[in-house]
Amino acid sequence: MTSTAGDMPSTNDLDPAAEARLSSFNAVFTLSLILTQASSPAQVMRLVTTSVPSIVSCQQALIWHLARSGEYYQRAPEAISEVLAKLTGPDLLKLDDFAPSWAFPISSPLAADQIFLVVVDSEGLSDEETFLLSVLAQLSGTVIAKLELIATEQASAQRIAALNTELESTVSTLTRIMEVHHRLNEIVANAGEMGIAETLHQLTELGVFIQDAGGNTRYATDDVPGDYLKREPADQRRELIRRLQGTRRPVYHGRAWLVLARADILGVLALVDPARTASEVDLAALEYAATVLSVELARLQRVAEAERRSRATLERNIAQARAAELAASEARQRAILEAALDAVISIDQRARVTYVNSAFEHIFGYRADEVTGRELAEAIIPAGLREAHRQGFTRYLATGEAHVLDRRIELTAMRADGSEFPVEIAITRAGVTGGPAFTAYVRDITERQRAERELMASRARLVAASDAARERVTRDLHDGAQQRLVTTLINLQLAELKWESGPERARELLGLAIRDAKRGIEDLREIVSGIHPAILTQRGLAAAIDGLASGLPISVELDIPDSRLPAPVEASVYFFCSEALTNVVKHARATSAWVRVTLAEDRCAVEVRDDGVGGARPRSETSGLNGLRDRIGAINGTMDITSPATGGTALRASIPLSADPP
Amino acid sequence: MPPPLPAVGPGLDFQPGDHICAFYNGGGNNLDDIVVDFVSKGLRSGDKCICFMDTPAGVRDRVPGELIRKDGILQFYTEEEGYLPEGNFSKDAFMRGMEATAKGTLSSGYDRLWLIGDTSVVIRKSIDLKAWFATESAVSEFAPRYPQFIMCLYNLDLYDGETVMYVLRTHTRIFVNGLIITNPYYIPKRQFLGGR
Repeated sequence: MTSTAGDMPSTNDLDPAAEARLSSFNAVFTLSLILTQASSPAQVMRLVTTSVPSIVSCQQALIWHLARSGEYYQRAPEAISEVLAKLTGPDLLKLDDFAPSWAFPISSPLAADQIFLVVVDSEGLSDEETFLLSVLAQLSGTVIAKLELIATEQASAQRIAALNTELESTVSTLTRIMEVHHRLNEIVANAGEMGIAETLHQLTELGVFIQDAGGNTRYATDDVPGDYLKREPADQRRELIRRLQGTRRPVYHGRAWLVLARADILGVLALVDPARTASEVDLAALEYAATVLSVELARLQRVAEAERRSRATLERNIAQARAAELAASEARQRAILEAALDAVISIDQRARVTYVNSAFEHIFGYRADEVTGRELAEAIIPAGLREAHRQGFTRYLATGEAHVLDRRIELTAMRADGSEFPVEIAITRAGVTGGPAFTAYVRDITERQRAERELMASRARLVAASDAARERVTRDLHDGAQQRLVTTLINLQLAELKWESGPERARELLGLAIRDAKRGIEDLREIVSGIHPAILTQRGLAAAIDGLASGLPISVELDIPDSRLPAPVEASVYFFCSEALTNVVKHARATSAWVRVTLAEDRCAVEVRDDGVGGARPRSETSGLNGLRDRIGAINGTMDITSPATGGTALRASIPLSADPP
Repeated sequence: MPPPLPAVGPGLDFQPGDHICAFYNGGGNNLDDIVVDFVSKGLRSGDKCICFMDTPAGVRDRVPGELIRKDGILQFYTEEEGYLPEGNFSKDAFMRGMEATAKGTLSSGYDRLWLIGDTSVVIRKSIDLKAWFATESAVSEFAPRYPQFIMCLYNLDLYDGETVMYVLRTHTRIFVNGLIITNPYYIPKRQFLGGR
């Protein structure tokens, strides 16, 4: 449908008054539509006040506000404000100095303010005009309410948008700060100060350095200029540290942001920022890096403390172990000394006795408490040797010249009872702290010297016996066998000479030669049997001794096992019995004798006993008994004799079965 | 007289011969939104479109390129070029121009003309409102004589209520809140000119 002005027949059919009313109605209607497109309450008020004179006959239209004036409204007169405040519908206002006016409340459901469309008309409005203006005022109020609502929503939307923007910025900042925390947390455990500095450098792209409280640089990234790392004067540095301790925020100082790492060891973390361009995130990274650095410094301190404690514990343990070892060693040494057979005497640098062992007490006849504290020389050195000892001791202390230290020497010592005896002594120096101390190891060599003397005598007897035996064999050979052989040789030579001329004589001489040869052989056998009887080798000990006994003029009872013994043992037992039985026959004046040989695990015991006069003693160093003793001793055997004066003699020997030949 | 054409789009019930007034608020995209919508419908129908506006860039950028099917189908003129071709506003000169434009459009092979113009020049050039609205009233009677759609744009920030009432008296149709409605307050030219 096309709508044009020519297609509007209705208005042409109306009377002029109705047409005017309809036109005014249409004007209010279309204006109301346009008002809905207004952008602000002020625009609504402007359009309404300027359009009303085109709609109704009036002098002026305006907007009153109960409380204030504005661009398109003015404050209602004070005198009428109370009436206006109570106004709920259009009303005629009559004021002094003011043309009669109609007031139409512009109700806005959302507006707290009360505003009114005021139409000034001295001639008065018709009912229809009042109605139209009431409608216009109400519609205006509705539009204003809508616009206020939209404005509120837009403001809210703007606030929300602003909040969103702020929130996005905050989230972005927090995200970066979280990233900073995450990156720095990653390095705490394993990267140390260098890792902290390098990570902060990567996060901020600014130079980073770490210093201690005194200004000594612990670490700096490569891009930190050298002048940043110069040390400040001590008083300025102390003032700076005080400033940093007063805040947890970074402080801008010397073209760098500084923050304090708070551990027992103070550290200063710095962000080089000459242009002062560090962002909030950069400074947050610096702050958190300082926290991480604090943790790192605390960790380093704990490690150092732990190492110190561990070292102290180790040293204490070692000291305790050493002390225990020393105590154990001393105890062992003391036990050894106490168990030692030698006398041990310790003296201090004044030659006072500080310690003696049990053997000392036994050897010297002192109790330890009797000798401890006394001068050594006075206690154990014979009077004639004391002065020499004292001089030597003094000389050593003065010059270090030692004649007796660390070697064995033989001296004469003195017992508590004043008796003197030979000792072998070895002196060692000890004691590092508290001056020198000396320990002497003293061995009583009385028995040893006696044994040595006996050994010497025994050896001499053996030599003498050996020489006597050799002389006897020589003599026996010379007087016996040799003579028999010489006679045999002479008789054989004579027999040879008489072989042709006197065969009888030759035969007689040959018979003599045979006799002498036999006698010579017997003589040789007899000599040899004195050295090692053949029967012993061929038939054993029992048969050999039985052979000895059978030729004696007394009764001899034998108790000898038939078993064979090592040859040296059999020989030693044979000669022991031979010598003993010979002595019985020669000296005991006995009528009977007994020979008993018994075998133990590793020894052979032999006893020769008689019923003679007793009281037997070796008559000289070369007596037979001493010879026997020497022979038995030569194969580590022992011999003793029991021969009481009341009668009867028993001679016993004990010989090891493993005895080597003498 | 060409046959009546169907409406060109939902919500915008354009009728050939419409002389529509539309109000907008300055300072936003309100003007461009109305112009873009208007010419897009004209171009989509293959019709000639002419705009009188001083700042056409925003519209030019927003009109889909595929709708520009031939050269000259969419033309922009400044308000002074459109309303004041001789330098001063003259109702007769303007109406002659409108007549020539309508005829030229048809002779160029277009079936319809879509003409839209902003009117800020009225304030800027202090054009006599009496002459202006006499012209607007004449346009309302001229428009139905050709297959054309004419829309006049008024900035509510520039005009007061009295002028708005003149606008409403001189346009047969109103574009308000996205709808085109018949203007009940329209006053035919003879009556309008006689009543003032």
